[in-house]
Amino acid sequence: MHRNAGKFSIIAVAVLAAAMAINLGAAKLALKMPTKRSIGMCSMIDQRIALAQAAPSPKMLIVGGSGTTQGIKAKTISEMLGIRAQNFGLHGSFGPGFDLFLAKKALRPGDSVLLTFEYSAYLLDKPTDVSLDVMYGCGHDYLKQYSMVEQIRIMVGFPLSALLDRITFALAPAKPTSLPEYSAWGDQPKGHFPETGEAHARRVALYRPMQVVILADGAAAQEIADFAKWARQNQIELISTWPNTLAFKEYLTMPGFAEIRRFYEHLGIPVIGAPQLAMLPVEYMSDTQYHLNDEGIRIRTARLAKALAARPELLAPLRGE
Amino acid sequence: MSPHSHRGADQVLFNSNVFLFVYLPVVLVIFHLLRPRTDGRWAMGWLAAASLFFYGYWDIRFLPLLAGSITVNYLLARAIGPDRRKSVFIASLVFNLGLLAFFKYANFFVDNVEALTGFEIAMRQIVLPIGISFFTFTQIAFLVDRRQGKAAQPGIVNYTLFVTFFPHLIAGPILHHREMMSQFESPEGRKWNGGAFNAGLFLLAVGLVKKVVIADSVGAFAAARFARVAAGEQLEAMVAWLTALAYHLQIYFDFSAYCEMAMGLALLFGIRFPANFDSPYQARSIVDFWRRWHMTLSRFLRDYLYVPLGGNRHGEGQRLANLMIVMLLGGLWHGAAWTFVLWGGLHGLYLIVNHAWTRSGLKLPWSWLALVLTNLAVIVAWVPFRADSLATAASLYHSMLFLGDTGLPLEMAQVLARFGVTVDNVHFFAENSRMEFYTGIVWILGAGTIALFAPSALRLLAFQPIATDQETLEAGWAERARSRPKPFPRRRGLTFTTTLACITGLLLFVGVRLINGAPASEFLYFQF
Repeated sequence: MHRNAGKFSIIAVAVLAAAMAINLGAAKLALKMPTKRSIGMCSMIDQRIALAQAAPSPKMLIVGGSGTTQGIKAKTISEMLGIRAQNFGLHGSFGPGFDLFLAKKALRPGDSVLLTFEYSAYLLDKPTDVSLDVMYGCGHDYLKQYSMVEQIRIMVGFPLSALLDRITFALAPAKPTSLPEYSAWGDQPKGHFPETGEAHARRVALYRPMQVVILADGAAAQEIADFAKWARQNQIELISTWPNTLAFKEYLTMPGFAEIRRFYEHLGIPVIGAPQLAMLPVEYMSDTQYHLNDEGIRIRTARLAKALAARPELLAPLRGE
Repeated sequence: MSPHSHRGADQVLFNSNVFLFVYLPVVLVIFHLLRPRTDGRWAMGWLAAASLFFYGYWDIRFLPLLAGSITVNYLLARAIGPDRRKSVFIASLVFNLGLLAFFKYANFFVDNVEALTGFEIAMRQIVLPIGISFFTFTQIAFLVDRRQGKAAQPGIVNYTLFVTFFPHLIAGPILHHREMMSQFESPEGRKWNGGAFNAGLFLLAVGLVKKVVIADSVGAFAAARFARVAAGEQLEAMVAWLTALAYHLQIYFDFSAYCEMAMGLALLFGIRFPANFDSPYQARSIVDFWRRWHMTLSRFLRDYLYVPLGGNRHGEGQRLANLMIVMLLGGLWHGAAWTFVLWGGLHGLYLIVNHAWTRSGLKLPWSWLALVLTNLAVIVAWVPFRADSLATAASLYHSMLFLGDTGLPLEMAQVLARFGVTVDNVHFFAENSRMEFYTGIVWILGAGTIALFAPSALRLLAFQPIATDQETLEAGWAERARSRPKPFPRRRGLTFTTTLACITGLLLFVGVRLINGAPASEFLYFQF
């Protein structure tokens, strides 16, 4: 054993402290640096919020990931049901907490929120690379919700790849991917996603059933519960429905759907329709198992409108009744 | 992500910020300040109090249970006295086994009675207090030795510390009073030991990285697929094998990491633990495996179950029966479920086959074949150990036996086809699982290489745990195998140079970074 015991431990702890300090400094610096992805995503978020704020209240804000953008036509819902619906589809990897935080910026008393989270969102229990990228880009106000200790935790865990992305972008800025011009209802223009070509069809056909489960003590469940509490305090009604997804016969026997329904009902949030309402075969899918092509969007939207119409008591406040 | 994303962070896990940056430094600094005073008695008292706090912080509801168990056992041990009173000893066994039966096995018993009889028994689900198996076994061993006149009655503070010392309280190693009391009581043991402190810091860093880098990565792969099987999905054969392999490596690195962190933490206080883990996947037989896996549990089961049952003293048949009984009970010790019984039964069977093979005098042509077969047997047994039910285990076995789809990513099948190999009954992987398949392979290959070929951190340090452990290593499980590994070779190990100090600091940094970038993850053995 080494005789100079103190020296070894002091050096080890000093290296740890120095590495932590460098890490924190780099993360702090990264907070102010954009990436190609964060510029694009933040622009999409700004557009979503601006359109939703401009929409007249009372409105139904349809919140979810890209499956909401690429699955539901808010204008059609509005016309079929005689209400004002607004598409607020964001990105599946943001997670319910960030999605709902952004939605709050566009909500007013008397509005309703239709929750359409993808099944994968219920399993998110840590920040993804995408969500961190965006939060560092334009979600500083979201990050400020955390305690100082939590903020340090997040900065310590800041991915090195994200730092490299920022440096790369600073050295050679690339043009961000162009975004579609959403309509006043927040709908994506027709044909934005490619129709199912042969290659896409083969890829999508290889998908298998997803894990459908909600962890009662998981982060996503807690975030939704917190939002439900906030919504009650601000006279905002919540409704939940199922995300559009590729149909599989295995889904008929999976217990996760009932667990999700129980979770929402426990919070006093009505769940519209059955999961199969939003499931479509492969010919209606676009590039992923959540994204629909134009015909798929038409079918899914019509089914959703029909299911909502069957619950007139939920629509009455939106119709001013 | 939200303010709720790190919900496990409020627990004092070894791999948590609150433990590494608050609890440990505070306990350590105060301990070493108190150590030179009052002959170390205050330091030991502080450590005992801090350990009780550690347990209570986890779940305050069970602190009275732990305190009660310690108090009652201490008084019973004293009552056994120099006369070795049998009636008191029996009362103490009834107390401890009753406690364990109530908290750990009552739900299991009631569920099985209900299933067999169809009657519904009105009983609330009993919550399992964390670490109950460990602190109960530790105390039973002490009481047995009191009865046999092998243990002196310690003071209440040292006894409390012996049972509760936080590095071993939740998941072992299962300590023996002979190893610990002398360290608590010896003035030599209370002196500052810089070498032990260095080794402790190094082991803590290595264990932390093993846990958060390797165990949690392969564990995530295994957990997702076991969940799919539990939900009724039939995995493809290739995925099923990868899943079983991933768990094989997860539990290896998780337990190895825990053992190293526990030993490292104890060393920071100048206390040595027995070795509990010695590269078990490098074993060339199941007998050898059990000399290297959870060594202190093996020792406990040998000394306090196998030997009292008669060991090998009543003929070969009785000996094999004893081995099976011990392994079945060892399985039940891990959890009250038939899956654990099956795991124990499989290992009992393996040991019987191993002994028969040894008796036959047959030898495998290559040493590596013994390594592969041993690992294969262990992998097969881990399936029910991890599964949430026998049905889940059966489903995974079905897949592993290639009775369902084979499963390959499209491009891999295309590559095979170029070489003229076509796979029948192949089901091409879903788009959403190809990358996971490849990532899983990379992790499994990397982790498997380390498990099969790398020396343990203890061997790297050429570190001697404690003397009585040497005895365990040499005595083996049920009999000495000819291929017994040399215990901790005397060659020169790593020295505590500046370079190693920098590496230790960087390992700690990597560990800290990762625990802050991922959800909290418990050690697997915390559930037993």
